[in-house]
Amino acid sequence: MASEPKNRPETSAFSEMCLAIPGKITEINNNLACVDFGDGTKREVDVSLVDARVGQYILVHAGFAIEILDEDTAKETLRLWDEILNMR
Amino acid sequence: MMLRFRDKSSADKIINRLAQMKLDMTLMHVCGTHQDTIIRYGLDNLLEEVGIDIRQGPGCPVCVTTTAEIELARTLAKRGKIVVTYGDMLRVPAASGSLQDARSEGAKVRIVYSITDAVKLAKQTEDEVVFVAIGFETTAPSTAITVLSNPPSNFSVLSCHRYLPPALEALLSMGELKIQGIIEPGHVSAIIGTKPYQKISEKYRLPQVVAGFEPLDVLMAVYMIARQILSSKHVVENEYRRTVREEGNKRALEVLSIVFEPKESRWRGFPTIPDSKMQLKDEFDSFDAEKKHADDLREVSEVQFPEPEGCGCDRVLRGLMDPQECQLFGKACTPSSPIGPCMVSMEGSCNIEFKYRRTNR
Repeated sequence: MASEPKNRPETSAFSEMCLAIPGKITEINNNLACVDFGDGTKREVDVSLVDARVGQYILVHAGFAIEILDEDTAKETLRLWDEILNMR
Repeated sequence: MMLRFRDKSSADKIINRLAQMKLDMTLMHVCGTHQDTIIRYGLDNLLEEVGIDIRQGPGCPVCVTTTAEIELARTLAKRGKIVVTYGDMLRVPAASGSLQDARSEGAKVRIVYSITDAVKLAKQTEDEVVFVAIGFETTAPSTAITVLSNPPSNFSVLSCHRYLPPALEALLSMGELKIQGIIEPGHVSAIIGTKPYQKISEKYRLPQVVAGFEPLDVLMAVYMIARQILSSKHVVENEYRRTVREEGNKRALEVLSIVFEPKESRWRGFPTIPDSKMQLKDEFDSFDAEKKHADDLREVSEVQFPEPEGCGCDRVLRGLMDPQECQLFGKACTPSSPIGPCMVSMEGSCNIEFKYRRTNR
């Protein structure tokens, strides 16, 4: 049987290139925010590319916040889909 | 709330709608994370049953990086620089081996999650530190803002950053693949917005939808393209409004335009694509590894390196071949002994295919 690829501790969800992970800002000091990714993972994230506030969800890619997640728009999208999908 | 973007009954409804539309169409997307969603949730099989073929194009930054660029990085490593990059790059085979091979031969190659870790490393050493910067518009702003924030003088960047839209244009102008619509990558679009896609829709009369990465995001994007086709429209729509704004991230675009300028470049699987690579502007020469270390790179900078023999990555990246159609897939080429980058990168079609369906069909 072919051997399994060795575990690569250097690669994880955090090293996927174009993947950005949502997390919630718990603290901001200058350009650095403490971000909670919800599974017990907290990381320092550079927020100099966005206008973020504590409590907001941001999309984090390679250590930088690239955009703020808009919760209201997310809810609106889901509502719109329900409408479209339940239309006859 | 995010779980609702995976709701099975909504997915079934979309598939039923698509079945009723009876469209026989081929769509392309250009993102490894979309491919992961599509294969992980078996969306390709669901869509195939309703006549829709969906395939990944050149949307994997590590995969489109050329052998020549990896040889530059390897050369710098072998000449005593500390070469720092993202994890996916480590194992991509180049002409004379991978960066990992260089490391096992004693070169200093380090993996980081973020460019800020590379800068920290440079502050702790006297040695030259070269960051191999891979990625599309999603990643490049972090490089740009780092260059602008006065990094130490022993730090430089080997820019392999690329602009995505020129590759779409190149692919469409080659005309090899007939597609009826494109699903555009949400996180590139978070930076560039939706406008850069408009001229493609106009010129090629193609519907395009910017999409998020949950299974319903992808299915909804397919449905939105199908609706456009049935009403003879060809516009850019945004399915991923919770993240992507029409104008993109202005601050990120601004730092990109301050630091980089477009330059023609080869992409793996493609001929030279005009204005497709992000080159550091002249005023940042002291941080441009290719200029700073030109003497070290003289021997390799103009060499044309052959691609690995038998490797189908070029055709996979142009959407012409499925991974399992490659003669090497799962036999000579596996994630533990990859031959081409599409089997190495977590965004590569072959790696994703192997991860979820490693047996040959």
